[in-house]
This record gives sequence, C-alpha cells and structure tokens, in this order.
Amino acid sequence: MSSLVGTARGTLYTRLVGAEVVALAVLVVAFTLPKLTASPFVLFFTPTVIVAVLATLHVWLLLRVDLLSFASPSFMAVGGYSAALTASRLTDNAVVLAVLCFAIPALVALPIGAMVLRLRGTYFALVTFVLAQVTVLLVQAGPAWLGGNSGISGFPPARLGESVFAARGPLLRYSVVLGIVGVLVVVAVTLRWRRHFAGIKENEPLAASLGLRPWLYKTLAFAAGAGIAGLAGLVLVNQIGNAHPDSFSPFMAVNHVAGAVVGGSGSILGPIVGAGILSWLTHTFAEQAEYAQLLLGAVLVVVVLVARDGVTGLVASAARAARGLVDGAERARARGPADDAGEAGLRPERAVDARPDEPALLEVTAVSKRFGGVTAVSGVSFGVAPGEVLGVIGPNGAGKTTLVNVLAGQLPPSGGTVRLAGDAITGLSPGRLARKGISRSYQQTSVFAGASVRENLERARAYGTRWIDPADLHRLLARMGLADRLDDRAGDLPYGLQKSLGLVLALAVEPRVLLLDEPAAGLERSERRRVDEVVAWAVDRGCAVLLVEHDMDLVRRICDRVLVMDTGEPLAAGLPGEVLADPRVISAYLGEPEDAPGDQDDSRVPTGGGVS
Amino acid sequence: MGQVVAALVGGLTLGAQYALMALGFSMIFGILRVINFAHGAFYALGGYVGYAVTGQLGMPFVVGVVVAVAVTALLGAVFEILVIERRIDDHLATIVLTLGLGLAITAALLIVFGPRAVAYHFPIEGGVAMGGAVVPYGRLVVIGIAAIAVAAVHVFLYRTQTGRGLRAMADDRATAVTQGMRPKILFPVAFGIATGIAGLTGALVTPLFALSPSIGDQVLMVSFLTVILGGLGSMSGAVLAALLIGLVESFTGIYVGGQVAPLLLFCVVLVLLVVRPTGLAGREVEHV
Repeated sequence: MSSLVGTARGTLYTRLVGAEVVALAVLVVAFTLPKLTASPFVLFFTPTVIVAVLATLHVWLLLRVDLLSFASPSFMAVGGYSAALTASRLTDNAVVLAVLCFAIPALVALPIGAMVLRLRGTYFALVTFVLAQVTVLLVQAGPAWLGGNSGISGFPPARLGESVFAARGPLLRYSVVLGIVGVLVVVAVTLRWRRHFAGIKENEPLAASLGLRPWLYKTLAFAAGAGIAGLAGLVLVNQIGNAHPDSFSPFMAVNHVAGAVVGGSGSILGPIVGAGILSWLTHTFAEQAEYAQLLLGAVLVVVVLVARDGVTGLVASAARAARGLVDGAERARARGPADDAGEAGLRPERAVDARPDEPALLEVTAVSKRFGGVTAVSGVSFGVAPGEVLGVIGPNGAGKTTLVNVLAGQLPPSGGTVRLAGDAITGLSPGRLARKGISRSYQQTSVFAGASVRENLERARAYGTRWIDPADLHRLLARMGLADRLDDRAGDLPYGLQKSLGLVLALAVEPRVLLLDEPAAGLERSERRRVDEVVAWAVDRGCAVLLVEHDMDLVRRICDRVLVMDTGEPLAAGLPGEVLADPRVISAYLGEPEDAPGDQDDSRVPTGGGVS
Repeated sequence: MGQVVAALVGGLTLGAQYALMALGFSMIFGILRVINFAHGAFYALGGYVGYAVTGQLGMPFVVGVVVAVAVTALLGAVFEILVIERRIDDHLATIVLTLGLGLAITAALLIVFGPRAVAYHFPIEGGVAMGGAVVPYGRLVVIGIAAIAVAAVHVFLYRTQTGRGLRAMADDRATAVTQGMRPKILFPVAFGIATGIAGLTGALVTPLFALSPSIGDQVLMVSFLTVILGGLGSMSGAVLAALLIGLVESFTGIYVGGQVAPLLLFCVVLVLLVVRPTGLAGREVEHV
C-alpha cells in the first residue's frame, strides 16, 4: 500500500513544482520588468493579459468538473462592482479589496450554484450564458448606487501604505500579484480535490456510489471559479478606473472559453498560455479586429478537430513521445518482482456462516418505482441479514437493475421504505448511502477508464469515509488478478478484469451491504469463480449481499435465499432449490409450457435439476 | 385600443422571428444534441445575403430571400459534414466548434460589409388600418410566412419518411441507427434545414428592424432564452415560448418601458429553471 501512495505523490509533486516554478518566474518578471523598462506597452498590456488569464482560469476550473461556463463576465462584474463600491465607500486598502473581490463573487455563486449546478453539459452552458446577460441587465436596471448605464467612476485606486497602485509600475505590480494569487488558488483547489474533480468528470455515477457528493465539489469549483473571475474584475476595474456594464458583456465569455480551449484543459499552464495567445492576437490585430476574430474562429475549429488538448496538450504529448523509451524501460523493471502477497490467498474462513436468524441489516418494505405510467418495481419487500446472500433473479425487464438503482440511491423510490440497521435511508443520495456502507457494482463495466488501477483505488479511498485494511486490499487485488496490473490504464484492461476492478472498488469501501448487479454477466466460466470469491469475502466480513444474477449455477451455489421477480413484482421467495423448482418461476423464465424451449442455455434456466 | 393592436402585432412579429430561430435551434439540439452557437450568425448572414442580392445586385426581394436560404442551408450542411460530424458525441467540443463558426461568419460579414448598419428595406410599403393603428404590411407578411414555415417544418417532421427518421434519431439515436437510419445523411439535412430557417428569418426580418454584423448576438441570446423556457429539444415548446416572449417584450416595452422588460423576462426564465428545469413543454432532457 505504501507504494500505492508513493507514486501518486510523485506525480503530484512534479505538477505542484511545475506550477510554483511558473509562478516564481512570473513574479520575478513582474518585479524586474518595470525597472528594466517603463515601456507603456508592457505597463498597459500586462494587466490586460492578467484579466484574460484569470477569467480563462474560471472556465478552466469548471472544465475540471465537466462544466462549460460562460459565466465569467457575470462574476467579473460582481468582483469589479464590489471593487468600485468598496473603494468609493469603504476603503481603498489593496488587501481588503483583493479579499472582498474574491469572497463576494464566491458567496454570490453559492445560491446561483444551488440553482444551476443541477444542470449538466449543454444545458449548463446555455444557462450560464443567460446568467451573464441577466447580470448586465440587473446593473443597468438596478438601483442608483450601481450607476446604471453610466457605471461607477471617480473612486480612488487601490493602495497599500504609501504605495498607490494607480498607474505605471505600481499598478503593474498589483495586477501581477493578483494574477499569481489567482493562479495559486486555482492550483491549490485543483490539486487538493483533483481526485474528486476527475471522478466527477470521468464517471460521476461510480464516484457517487463510492461515497462522493458531486454537488459539494461542483459547488466548490463554481465558488472558487467565481472568486477567480472576481479577481479578474478587480484587476480590470482598478486598471481602467471605472466599473461599466459594457466591460462585462456576456459575449466576452467567448474569449475566455476560447482561451481555455486553445491553451488546453489538461494543464494549469493551458489557460495561461491560451489567454496569452488570445491577448497577443487581439493586440496584434488591434487595428483590424475583424481579422483577429476570423482567425480566432478558425483556430477554435482547428484546435477542436486536430488538437483536443490545445497547445499545452500538443507540447505534453510531444514530451511524452520523447520520454516514451525511458519510461517503458523503467516500467518493465518495476514490474519485475512478482507480488507474493497474491499467493497467500484469502483469509481462512472465519466461523461465520449465513446468519438468517439475526435481524435484517437491510430491510426493504413495499418498495416501488414508477417511470411515468410504467411501473418497473412494485411492492417488493425483503430483508438481508449480515453475512447472508440474497439472490434476486427474474427474466430481463423484471425490474432487478431498477431495484438495485433504488437501493443504491441512484433512483428515488416512488413508494416504500428502506432501512439500514433500523435507520430509515429511503431516498438518500448515492454518496450518503455509500458513506453509510451501501456499496454496489454495475452490470456494465464501470471504472475510471482514463486512470490507472492504482489511481482508481486512490480515488475510491478519497471519496468516502470507509476504507479496507491495506493488507486485505493487497490480497483482494491478487485474488482478482489485478495485483500486477496496478499501473495499467483501467480502460485498457480486458473486460473481465474491468469487471473485477469494479468489484474490488465496491469491496474496498468496506460495505455493510453489497449490491451486485449481474457480476458474472459477460464473464467466461473461469472468471466467474471471482464472483464466488467476492461474495465469500463479503460474507466473511458480515456483509449483507444482494446478488442479481442470471447464472443459475452461481445462484444455487452461493445464495442463501432467492427472490424471484417478474414484471416488477415479487413472484416467489425462499431457498434456492425450492424456488428454482417452482413451476411459476420456470414459466416466468421460459414462457408457458406450450411454447416450451428447445435450445436454451442450461446455465441460465432454472430446471430444478442438479447442480452442474 | 390602437396601442394594444400595435403592441399585439409588434409582439407577434417579434414572436414569429423568435419562433423561427428557436425552431431551428431546437431542431439541431433535439436531433444532433448540438447547441448551435452560430445560430445568430446564420441569421445575420441571411440578412446580409438578402441585402447583397436585393440592394447591391438589384434583384427582387423574393430572390434575395431564396438565395439567403440556399446559402445558409448549404453552409450549415457542409459545416456539419466536414466539422461537426467528427466530434458529434462530445457536447463541449461541438459548442466550441459552433462558437468558432459563429465568430468566423460575423468576422467575415464585418470584413465584407463593414461594421455599420446597412439600409435593407422591405419592398412593400404602407400598412392597413386596424383598430385605430396602422399595421405595416411587412409585419403581416412576416407573421404569415413564419406561420407557413412552422407548419411546413411540422408537416416535414410528422408526415414524411425523412422527418420520421429525424424524429427517430432525436428519440433514440442508437436504436434509430440500428434500424437503418443514416446519420451521415440525416444530420447534415437537419442542420442545413435549421440554419436555412435562420437565414430565412434574417433575410425576412432584418429589413423590418435593423441589419448590422453583430445583430446575431442579441437574436442568439433570445433563442437561448426561448429554448430554455420552452424546454430544450422541444420544438412545439420553443414556438410557444417564442410567441410568449415576443408578446411580453412588446407589451412591457410599451407599458413598462426600458430595460425592465428584458430583465423581467430573464428573471422569469431563471425562476422557471428552479421550479421546472425541463421548461414549459420539455421532457426530461437526456444528460449528454
């Protein structure tokens, strides 16, 4: 396990240092440049670039959680007007201004976020665009102290002690410091919660079922992004000496989005490089803005088509290609010594068997789920005791997966109650249920495909409160055939191993209740043994297991009791042998006797006969 | 009374314009799952093509409108085939692609026609007296043509084989494709029709209001508003919402005045988002 953390720290360290080097370089430039040259171009242009960088960082940060925001002008306006109002009525202290211009937009973002963060993808993009327009309209139609169409001017520039950050060198220095603060805040937020952000971006349902609360981290990114845009507003307003609605037109956001796209969303350098390129473009074509715009339009199309990760992505992949040989050699060496923990096998069985006499850990009463007029699950009740395995079988469309989705919190039930150890947990979110100890696997493979197996585990650990003993995890990985694949990209694993990884993730959060949705589907016979092991592992730890499965051999082998569902309703329940011999169950699977089957796959059909 | 009639006709004209824009916008989203940020630019392009053909080449107004539709439809279809198609499943990428196209079209208009508004006039002067107000013929023509266009799109989508295919693609792309629907043909057709409608709107309506390269921005913003209000992807919802927005804008513009009207409208839409995120007529939007 120590190695698990070690490598992650290594990359984290490299990235952190990269950001610090950049910040330091910018800092040095900022403090030496005004002394080297008092060129009016540098003095004027630098704050403009910083405004662009900060606004682009807003877009970039929200791209981390898979949201495209056009709200940068909105929060720039909040920051800019906060600056103007504070400076004219309260104080012109530079530090106070910076703090307020970050904090006020961030606070404003909280209620707005509660409203718009429920939306995703395209819808979110649209709404933030409208939000930017609303902000301008609010200012224009707002109370007199907002200045309406003529804006606010005549307030003192920011000052700190003797220094007045009004023009030339001092203004430049203040702008650069604000720029660096902004970059560092974004770097800190992105690094601290990189796993949470990456999980939301890559596979939000999986992340939630491992204990992540997506709304919390989206709100966090949104608030931090709003604060960054607020700083951009401060730099802008302090530079031009007034706050005016025209400075915050919603269509400015297009430039910020363009900066983030051109620079690339993969690296923190992306928005800096992108905003730099765009500012240069604007400056170079200052006399013919329409040509700059034409070029920008073309560049956007080309970047999205040819270089998905923008300029920094191109550089990074070139660097990777150059390093490729070295890395490959190192990796081969690292893999060399086989992990002997794998041979140790599972812990010897504790003397715990099924404990059906104990009170049920998971208690489901009359749960139903309707989609419009369609009833997918209706009046299902059962209990699962610690260490007990309840099989749920039924023909396709019986509502088994819907049942699992309801129990795992991914769908709110239409009726009924669910209790965990006596506490009502009906309708809680997947994240909260996972934290209470309800964990699930998915019928399709569901992993963080872009990350290594190791990183998948690290993420699962970061999301929740429960975590497996490291030695146990090692054993589990070995048994599931994953011990020597820790550095492989999860999406590159073969199907069977991806499903295994899904099972490991579900077990690694130390569940009290484990919901397995067709864990054996799509696996070959030899791989199905892993399902037996997973269930044995869970039972061994007193976990209540609900197993949805079509493989009747497997069901017979490992289930203590079986619940049969048909068209959403419970059809039969009892011991596997009895239930599978029930004529009603057989006909539910095979249809009525007159159209009896000829060539069904034996293992999928309950025949009531012996175990193969 | 005269004021009411004027507001009503003004509102319906605005509503007709917004409806046509939102119809195409919704169609592109519903079928391709693409937000077309270039939709406003296609509107401006339609206006300028109409202006060039009518005002600069001296052709009849109708020819100008037809050429505008042809140019915008063709450009839309070609852009879909060459560019959008290659990133069709990445919703953030398609937003940026259409943004880029919109910027480029607007910039091209600026380069060719200059930044200032041009004089592009409706060919039919005068109006008819109605309830104490003079209603310009031009507005009636626009309302009439918009109604015909909406009806035509409806007939196309619900009564023809191609239209059925497009609706199937909107409902469930994967299934429609396995049933033999061909996205390679249907997507450019849908995109082209939608941008063609935007071009039609531009060529038809800008003579009544104003024509400058950046005119598309404001229209795009109202299109966003309309589809959010009507429910993203719902074409009937979009048309309904467009009429509502046109009327509200017209009446509040006369009776409340100034900047309060659009603010009110935007706030209503934001509140609606909280209460009913799927819009007035929207179904649950598949989260793409």
